[in-house]
Amino acid sequence: MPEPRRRGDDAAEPEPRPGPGAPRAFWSGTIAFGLVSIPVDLFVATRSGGLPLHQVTAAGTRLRRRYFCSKEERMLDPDEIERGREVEPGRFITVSDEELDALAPEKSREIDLRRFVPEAQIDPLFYERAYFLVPSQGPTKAYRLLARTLQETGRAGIATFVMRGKEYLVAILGAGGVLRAQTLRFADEVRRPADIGLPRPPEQIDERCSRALRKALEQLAADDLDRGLLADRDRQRLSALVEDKRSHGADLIRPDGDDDDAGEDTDLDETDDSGEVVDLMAALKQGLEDDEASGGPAPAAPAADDLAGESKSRLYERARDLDIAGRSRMSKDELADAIRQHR
Amino acid sequence: MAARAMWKGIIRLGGERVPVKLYAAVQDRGVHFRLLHRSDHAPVRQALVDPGSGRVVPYGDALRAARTGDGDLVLLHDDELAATDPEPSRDIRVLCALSPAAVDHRWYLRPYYLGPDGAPGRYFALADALARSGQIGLARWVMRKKTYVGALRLHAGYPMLMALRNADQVVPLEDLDVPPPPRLDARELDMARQLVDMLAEDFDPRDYHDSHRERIEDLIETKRRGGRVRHAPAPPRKPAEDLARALEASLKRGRPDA
Amino acid sequence: MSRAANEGPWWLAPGPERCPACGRPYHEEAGYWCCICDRPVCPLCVILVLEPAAAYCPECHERESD
Repeated sequence: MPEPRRRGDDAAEPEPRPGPGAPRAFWSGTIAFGLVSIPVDLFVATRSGGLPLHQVTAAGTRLRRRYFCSKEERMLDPDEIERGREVEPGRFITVSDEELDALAPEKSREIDLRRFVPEAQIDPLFYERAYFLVPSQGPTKAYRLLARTLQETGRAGIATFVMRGKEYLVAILGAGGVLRAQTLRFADEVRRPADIGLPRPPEQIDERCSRALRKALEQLAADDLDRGLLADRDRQRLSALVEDKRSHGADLIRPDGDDDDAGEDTDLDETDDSGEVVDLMAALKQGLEDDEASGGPAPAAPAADDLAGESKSRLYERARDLDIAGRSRMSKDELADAIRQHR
Repeated sequence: MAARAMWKGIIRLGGERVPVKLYAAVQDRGVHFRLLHRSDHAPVRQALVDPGSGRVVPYGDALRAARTGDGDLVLLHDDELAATDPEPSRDIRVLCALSPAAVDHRWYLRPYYLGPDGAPGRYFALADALARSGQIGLARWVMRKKTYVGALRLHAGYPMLMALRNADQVVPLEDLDVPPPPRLDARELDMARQLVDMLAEDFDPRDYHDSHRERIEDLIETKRRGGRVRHAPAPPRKPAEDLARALEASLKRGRPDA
Repeated sequence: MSRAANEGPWWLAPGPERCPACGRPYHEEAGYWCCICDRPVCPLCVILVLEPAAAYCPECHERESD
């Protein structure tokens, strides 16, 4: 049973959510409109995509990525690393996360909606990244109310807030009963046509050409966005190559045993996207389950079943039989969880 | 001062060819920090290490592999990988035309301005056509060995290509079935609506400023001069106990200065 | 947004951006954007020039140096 989070002492620290394999929120804080406060977790709605390629030895052992000091020419542990800037040649000023977090504590944990603008007025030029919001604890009435009101009015709540050391302009939107956030660029982060040196329009337009182009646009008109057009063709060609080689057994390597245990002490992890979407959906669903009675998020299912005592290799075999994606990257608990979810 | 074009292409729409230059529209103003080794402030790089021998393997010597569904690995040679690269081309093919609202905000990745590459007549005809049709184009092109899909649309009267994310880069939120909400109180709904109306305005990006950058620069400057930095933590804000009361109080408070 | 339980600081942790140079997943705010090709580059791969201040991805820097 997760402990209710204490707001106010740890600024905007995204604490790990309860349960193994559960997605971590990008940012936790509150949405404020007027005097109404809605505690939320932000999850990113976009992913890096692409087929992950690994660097390997000829035997198929994954090479580990380690941090490396360019001067001493040796490996570094993460805690030997800090961030800084070169202010003069050879002179560096370093900054700690504590110092940076302390610069704008209010802004780091609250999105204070001061204005509501028509969503259609926000030019896509300013769009940066999309997130969705999950109510992080307690009753979801205020969350639902805001989502519904935004959706019905066609407006977005605008605010600025600080996340990962950067100030963001953000639009909070309501869609399908869920709150979303879209970070926006500031006006000075976008070049204007004059900055590029684009020429001014002429007196006369080439009418023939314009007409031909307009006719072409009409002929190409579609009602909806076909997601198929946005498929990653580069990845598809790469996957086809991989599949072709696999089916012929060409350059195929079966890594022996627990290649994944070594993954736990890797400094530079790879993330597996496939299991992640399921987790995000689950997190959203769980957060929205109305639980005003209990006053807290539903506890994760207790692990008192037949999987609890299983060894990791046995769980891996079961996961392989069930064809669970990303299993070679999972820890023992994550495997058990995934098998349970499959039921 | 004119910007340097990143790339040159040719818009292919109907039978027409419009030669264009691509310019990055984003201007990075962010504060960035580099990774340094704590003890000697040397820049931190990354190295590939063979877990068995503990030896460093230069990037050029490492073999690349992809994982199959079974957890096996398939080695991929450089020439094979190169063969999967898209065919280089200057064409920017318009695949379809959509209403601007058809492309949801989540798809937008990175904006680029289009400028004329010679032939200004055709360039401005394109701008004119886009303006009069009110549609946006969905275009595909290949740049630096990568396939891009983007929205061909106007900004401030100038054509732009806004690169879009791939289908597997966007979480399909519409596939999610959200548990239905409890019945929302009519009075609370009404008050929420009033509150939004009270704070309603048109969107002008120039109204908003990034003040955080300056604070970080000040911090760095203070540290550079050898000064000390001190901050008192802000008091926590508690979630409202009673939604209806909070809504009422907000309406009563009126519109705060943004 | 500082240290999380077992992952270290966010600026070393994996994130939704992927470095085109090394393929590593990272947080965009920890990295840079190449001033030539406008692609993201992670802080381990970036090549920084002090005067005039600019960030390059390894590919573009190599091309510029020729």
